[in-house]
Amino acid sequence: MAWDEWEQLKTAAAERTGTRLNQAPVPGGGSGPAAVGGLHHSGKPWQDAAGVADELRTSTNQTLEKLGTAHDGIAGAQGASGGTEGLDSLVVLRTVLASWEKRLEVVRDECASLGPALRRTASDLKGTDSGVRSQLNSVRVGNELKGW
Amino acid sequence: MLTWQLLRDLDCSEIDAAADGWGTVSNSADAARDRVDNEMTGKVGKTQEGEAARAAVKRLQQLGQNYAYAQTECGLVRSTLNGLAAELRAPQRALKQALAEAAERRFTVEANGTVSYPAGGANKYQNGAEYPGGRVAGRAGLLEPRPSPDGRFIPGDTSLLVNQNPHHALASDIADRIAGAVREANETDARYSGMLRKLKAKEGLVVNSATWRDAAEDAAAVRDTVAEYLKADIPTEAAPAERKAWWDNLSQEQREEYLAVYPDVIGNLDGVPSLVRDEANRNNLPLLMAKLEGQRDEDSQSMLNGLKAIDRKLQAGSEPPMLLLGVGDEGNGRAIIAYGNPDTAKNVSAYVPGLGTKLDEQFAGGTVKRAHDTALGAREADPHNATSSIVWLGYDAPQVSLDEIPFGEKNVMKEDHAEAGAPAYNEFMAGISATNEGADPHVTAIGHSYGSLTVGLAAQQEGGIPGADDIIIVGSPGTKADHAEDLNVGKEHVFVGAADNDIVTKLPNREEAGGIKTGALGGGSAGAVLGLGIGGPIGAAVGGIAGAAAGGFAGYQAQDAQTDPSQIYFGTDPVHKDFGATRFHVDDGKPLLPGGVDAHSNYFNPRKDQISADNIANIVVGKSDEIVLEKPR
Repeated sequence: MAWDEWEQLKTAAAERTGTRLNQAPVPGGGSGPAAVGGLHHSGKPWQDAAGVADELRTSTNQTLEKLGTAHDGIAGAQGASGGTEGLDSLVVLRTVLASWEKRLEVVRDECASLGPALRRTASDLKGTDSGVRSQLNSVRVGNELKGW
Repeated sequence: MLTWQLLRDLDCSEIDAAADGWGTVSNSADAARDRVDNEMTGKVGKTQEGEAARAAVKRLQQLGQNYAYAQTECGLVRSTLNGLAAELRAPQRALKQALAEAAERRFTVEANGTVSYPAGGANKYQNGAEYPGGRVAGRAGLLEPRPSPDGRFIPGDTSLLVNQNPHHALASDIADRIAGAVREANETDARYSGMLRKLKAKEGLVVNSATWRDAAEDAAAVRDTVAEYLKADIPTEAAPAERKAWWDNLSQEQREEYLAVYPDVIGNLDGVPSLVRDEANRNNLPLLMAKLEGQRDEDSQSMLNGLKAIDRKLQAGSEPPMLLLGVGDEGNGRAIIAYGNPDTAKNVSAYVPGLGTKLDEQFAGGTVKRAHDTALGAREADPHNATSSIVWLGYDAPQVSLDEIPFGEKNVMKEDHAEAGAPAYNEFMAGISATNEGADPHVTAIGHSYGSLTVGLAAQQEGGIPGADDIIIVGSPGTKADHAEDLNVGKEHVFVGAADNDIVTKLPNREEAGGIKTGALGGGSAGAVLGLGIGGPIGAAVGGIAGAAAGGFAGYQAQDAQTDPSQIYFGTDPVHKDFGATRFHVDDGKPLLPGGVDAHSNYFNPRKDQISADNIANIVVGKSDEIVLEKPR
């Protein structure tokens, strides 16, 4: 409805202002927000995110290992019993497995590179914002430059 | 290619083990995605501003999308492998039984599947000597000719030459069953090879709409080719309480499979626990968006924009937390959104929106916000008990456009949409009753505008709205009920609100409408206002139509004196004293000039109509004794 749409716009505008005024303190404390030229930075969320990135790197790696182990009995694996010979679908499964192992490795490596990048951002709050951006931007994943 | 020996020796449990491995990946990707969204993207995005944060959030969003993609696709690989193992077990069993029978009769099964049998029977023409033994090959199908024992040469029809050795017929049968089992297993293998080939991961880290479109196609393919057996077991025809029991009795692995393969069905299945529906619908959301992205028509794009806006809200998080209890692209689109978990809440309200509502960006904005407003108001009214406030777009509301006039020759606003919506709403409410974990939740049904007709018709069905304690009706053009008593909650539990300047609550009765049209001034009519703001060329038309409508309204009010004052568009005016409901106070709203239909859309909004929003919140938390009353019309 047109009126609703109009309401929405106004409310959205009101909420924007409201959020900034009522900004809740960062849970768990940490370094207070440092406002630099209108930019609000607080180290803690970045540090926390970096910690999660580290954990996800580890857990993704563990998942990869479990996935590999789960295929130990499938034809083509070293020491497989031979109880799954003759199925073309399991030959295809090998290629599916390889493709996902590759993808998950890229994801794992992205976590690995995000950890330090986020941490640098946290510790570099005094640096210019665009400088930080270029640091994040410079992270390479595989052969691709991950931009946005 | 399987031979009978390979099929006999096949160890299907190894395929199960591989399937479990994919299940592990899918589950841990799900958990990882939650962590990325909640502990990384959410926090950095919320508390930071600036270029660095934006850059980081984009990269984190991509990471989250990667986990979501892995969750979906690896879940599909798992279901495919489970299907493969299950479908291979049947022919393997048949083969083993045939082999066992052959062994019992001392037949020999040769490497190529040919069965040899010993001499047997008694030839009466040769002094009872045994007929000689022989060899027989299995047929490629029951109607196929039988090949020669070496399996290569297919002779002509030999059915007239009956082999007198009684072993021959048995050996033929066994050979046929062996060949049949191997053939079936190889067909299964080929079908699953094709399916698995589609489930390869794409290279790199990009997840975009093309990725999701492929994933949607993969899910459809898995449904069609390998997991039909899953769907057959979903109790779509059962009552919500039975579905709840069905879900509760599934193993964790079965639940995960349903979520992976049928997120669209499980997500919209009344009776399934709300958190499960939420997860299913969140999983289905990118698939649904990708599907709509591929459809270039205007309706699909508008629906897509609505889903994108809902997705953004889900990503951003909210207080109370937002749950997606239903989503779909049928009709004008479906979306059921809750603020607060209705399964654990003491108070549950479910609001049915009305005229002009469909799944689009406006729905995701203003309409959804009404449920959020009620949730926040309820929390204020009763801070000690949790409230879940729901907006239920589970039906097609009438899409009335600006230039359509519902009177006379063109009856654009009819009961049929509400008639179709009422049973669906009742089923949803029965689902809430089934899944709520409390002993006796306080449930309020809310209908706004045309949605009050839907709620009214639902309430007038036998037994009323399942679980409903109270009913709230605002901005109503009538409910087809003559009296509040007809809504099956007791008239003292029916609460009505109507702004004096809300023209929708003053529309003339449909049957009386014909005469009114000619009485309207300036070529406008009250009916035109029904369509105002519901689509079409909005900006330019507002002033003119509001003016015309004001003229029509005045004209109508003059005319209305000649007709039964209790009757509005769909029957008795719910705020009329004859209806017998409790009328709560709302703001009068702005008059048509210059307010337009503003007065029709403020009931839930505490910034526009504090008293109405407070009254609604109090009723929702069971404190209807604290509402502010208004004299009925």
